[in-house]
Amino acid sequence: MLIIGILAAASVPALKKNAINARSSAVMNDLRVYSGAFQAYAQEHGDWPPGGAAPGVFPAGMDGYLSATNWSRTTPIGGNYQFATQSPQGGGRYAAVIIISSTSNNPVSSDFNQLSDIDKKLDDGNLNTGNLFLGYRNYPVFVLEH
Amino acid sequence: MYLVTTSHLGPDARRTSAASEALDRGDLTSSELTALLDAFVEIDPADNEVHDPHVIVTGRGAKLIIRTSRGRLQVYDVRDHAAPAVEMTVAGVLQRLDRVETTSPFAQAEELPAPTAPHHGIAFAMLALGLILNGYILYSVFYVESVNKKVEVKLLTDADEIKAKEATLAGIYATGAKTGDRVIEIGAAGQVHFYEIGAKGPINDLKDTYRIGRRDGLLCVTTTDSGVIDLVGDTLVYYRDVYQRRRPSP
Repeated sequence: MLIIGILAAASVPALKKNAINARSSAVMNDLRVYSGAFQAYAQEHGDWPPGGAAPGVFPAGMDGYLSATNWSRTTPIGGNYQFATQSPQGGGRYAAVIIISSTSNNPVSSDFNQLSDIDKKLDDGNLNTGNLFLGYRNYPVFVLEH
Repeated sequence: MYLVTTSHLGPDARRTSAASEALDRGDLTSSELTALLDAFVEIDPADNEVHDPHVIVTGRGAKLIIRTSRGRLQVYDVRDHAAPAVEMTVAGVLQRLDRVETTSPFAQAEELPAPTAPHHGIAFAMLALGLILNGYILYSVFYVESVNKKVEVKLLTDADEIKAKEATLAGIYATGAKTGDRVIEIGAAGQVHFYEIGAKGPINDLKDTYRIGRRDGLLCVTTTDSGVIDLVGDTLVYYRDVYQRRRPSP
């Protein structure tokens, strides 16, 4: 009984790690798809689409580049995606970013391990530097253009 | 000296006597006892069978019941009824009677092999270890290290100072005035309002309450759910972004 309990408990960290891994992969995939879509828009129009939309609200001008359904759904780590331009983040100002922002009753994960795992897979593994870092209110910020 | 009682034995101890069921012979010396036992072994086997004569001897080291059979002494220890008779010579009987146990009554117990301890201790230790291990694993699973670290802020306690600071602090602070910039409005009665300038009005609108305190000796505003805002001169620093005070329009 005890041994079964130990084995069961010992398997829980592995399950947790798998869950973190799966969420990281899903976020990474989203960010790649979305950054590709915004870059495609920028290439065609010579500038980024206008920012200023709330989290989860489909960015203006992105019809045909992005799926509105995907954009508006809750991200794998909670919160919603938000596209912003000239965004002040972490002491700097960024030309274009995708932010994973908390919304009412839908907070973004503050789990250090989860966010670090995403950063390791997508960037430099440091949540304070690189193209993925924690900005305003420790929301994850993915830089499209500095 | 040996205290001797005979049973069904005649005075010379060489013959049985149905009449003398128990005869107290008092204290005998070793030579007297030797003579008695030497006579006792020569008793007639037929009489011996019928009357069961025997000698009870108490010495310093033992109390023995002695019977005879086919010219030999059969010795029983009174203190150990279950033990079988031991065949002894007269000299052996004397030796046995004189032998005083010098070991403590507990010696036997000490010499006995330790009873096999039940494995309760090991089982309990394993159970405790298992529970600790389970606890640790579950703790490590459910413990979430947050990126929102708790910051030590020493709150102001002087009511006059708080009132003065709140009055001074109250105002609107912003990172800029364009879309994407963020604004913090600090009220004079402990309310704080965060929002972002959106394309169609404020977005990411959030209201909270605050108290004024000091962090590392510097003034700061600590909010209920939104972390700490540092006061640097006439500006606010929030998540490393600088918010300039907006001057009221003339």
